[in-house]
Amino acid sequence: MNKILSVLIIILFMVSCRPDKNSGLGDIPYNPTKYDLKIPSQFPQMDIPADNPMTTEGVELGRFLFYDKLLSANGTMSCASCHLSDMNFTDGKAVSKGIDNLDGRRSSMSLENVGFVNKGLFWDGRVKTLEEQALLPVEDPIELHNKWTQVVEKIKVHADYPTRFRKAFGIKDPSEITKELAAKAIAQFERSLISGNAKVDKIFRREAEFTNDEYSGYLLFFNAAGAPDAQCGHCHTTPFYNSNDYFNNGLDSVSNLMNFKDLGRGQFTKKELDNGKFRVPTLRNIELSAPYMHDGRFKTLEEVVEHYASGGHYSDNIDPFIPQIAQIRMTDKQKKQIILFLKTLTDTNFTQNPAFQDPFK
Amino acid sequence: MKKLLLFLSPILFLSTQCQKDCGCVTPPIPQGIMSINFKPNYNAKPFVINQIYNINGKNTRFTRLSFLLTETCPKASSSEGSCGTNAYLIDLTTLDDSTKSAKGFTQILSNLYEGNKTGLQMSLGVAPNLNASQPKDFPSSNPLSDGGLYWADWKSYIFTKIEGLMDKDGNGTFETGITLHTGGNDSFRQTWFPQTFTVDSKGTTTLNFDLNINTLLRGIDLSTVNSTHQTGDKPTMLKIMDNLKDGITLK
Repeated sequence: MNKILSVLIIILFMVSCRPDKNSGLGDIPYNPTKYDLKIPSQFPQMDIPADNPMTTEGVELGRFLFYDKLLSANGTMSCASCHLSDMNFTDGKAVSKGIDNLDGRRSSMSLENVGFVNKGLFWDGRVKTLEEQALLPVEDPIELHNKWTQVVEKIKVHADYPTRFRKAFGIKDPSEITKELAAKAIAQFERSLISGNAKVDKIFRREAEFTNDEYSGYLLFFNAAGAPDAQCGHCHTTPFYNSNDYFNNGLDSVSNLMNFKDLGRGQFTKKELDNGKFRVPTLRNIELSAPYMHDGRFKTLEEVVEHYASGGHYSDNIDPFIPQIAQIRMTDKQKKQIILFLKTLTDTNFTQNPAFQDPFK
Repeated sequence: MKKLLLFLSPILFLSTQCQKDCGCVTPPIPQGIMSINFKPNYNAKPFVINQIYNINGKNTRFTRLSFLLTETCPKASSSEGSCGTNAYLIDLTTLDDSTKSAKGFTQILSNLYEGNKTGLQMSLGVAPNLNASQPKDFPSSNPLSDGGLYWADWKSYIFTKIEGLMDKDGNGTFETGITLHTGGNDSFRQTWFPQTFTVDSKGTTTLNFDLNINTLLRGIDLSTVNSTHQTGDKPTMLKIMDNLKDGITLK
């Protein structure tokens, strides 16, 4: 009996020690507003999970979490440290560095229009949804190197977050905050990152015109109107100038498919033929997304176009389009025209959109 | 209140009577399911993606083989109406070993009307009414939403993709790309496979098709025609579609 009493007293003491600053969230109104997701007319509808509908409150909570260094073990980095808005939500580095200044394995991928990516995220497509993806960097030892349990505890006693979680998800008590809810909010914010107002979009809306060189670059890119086939448009298809697929774009010559330095897609699928394949990134805002490729090996668009124009490096699973590019023997002028076309994909309205910026500034 | 009741009563009476007397028949909800299976073969053996084949004296590996089906459904008679807007991507790229190839690629056809059928209508490519659409017009669950299957310059879906690499010089390196794509309304092909079978909601029926790759490549010299993207490549595209139609046979 005495033992039971002792245990009860301890439990009561512990409960009484909990900060009550944020308890009683039930008094705060829970009236989430449906988020007005403005999808450009040339884009498809976005798949939004039924268990994570976008709300103004959810997106805003996600934005705070995305920019909050509280997510990292030493409070020095956030998601935004590797996804900077003015760099098209990349970080300008060949490979990203985490809180311990360790080099990551791959270059930071742009989050622009990421809500439309539906056949795998990351360079190797190893996760299906943004909700799953958002959970991973926090605990990755070469990224934020934290524990979600610690992050969630900090959020629960935070002066602001419990109220935001209440407004976004209707929780009644901070104890209901979970890493899954945090990831849902971050995913909502990421789905809001839509870019569809580049010069090329204005041109197709008949609000602007290509210059002659941009137009020539466009024709080369899409093998249109009888122009030589630079093959770009087969993998970088409209409207996102990507494809939901994985290719070996001839970056490395290997005699054996197991010899790729980074196995890419194959590391996830365990299929040798997938080794050295990576997801095709969007070319929207590519001008702002240097350096290029999964390992950031190319610093400039000129280097990228030169790589493709050469026909790439042979390996057994090189995509058949890559060697065909060399067949047209692209001139320097044509290479420049392709780059000029690529620059029409720049949308600074997106990168400077106040709704996507750091809310702590 | 009484006035309101008096006003509402005849309306309620009339509305219920109408339902009884209109002779309305609720259309059946198509809940039938069936499967179609494609087994590709080359020289009478299972055709395997990325396996080396000697074609016209050149070692060749195919890395992708896919085609789109629309207007494909079982019918009680060949003159029945449209199959609706379902589209299917038959992606044989997944058949990368002989075991998988021998099993073939199975596509489930759903939302079908149940009952006895006299055959299957199969349409290779995208029917003109659907081909006037764009990927943005479809939900992501529909293969027609895939931008990689659309070629804006043709204003058409890419009906078939035959991709691979060829060792043109015989030096052991497969340095020549093969990218045969087809599209455009004139590439659309429709065929009718007569067979009596029943469609039910349990999906018990499977129709098995062979795809003869020798027939698919009939009359095409891959060492000289290794890409079909330009308008001038149209004759080859049409030949591929005719070959595909001829190459599919019901077992």
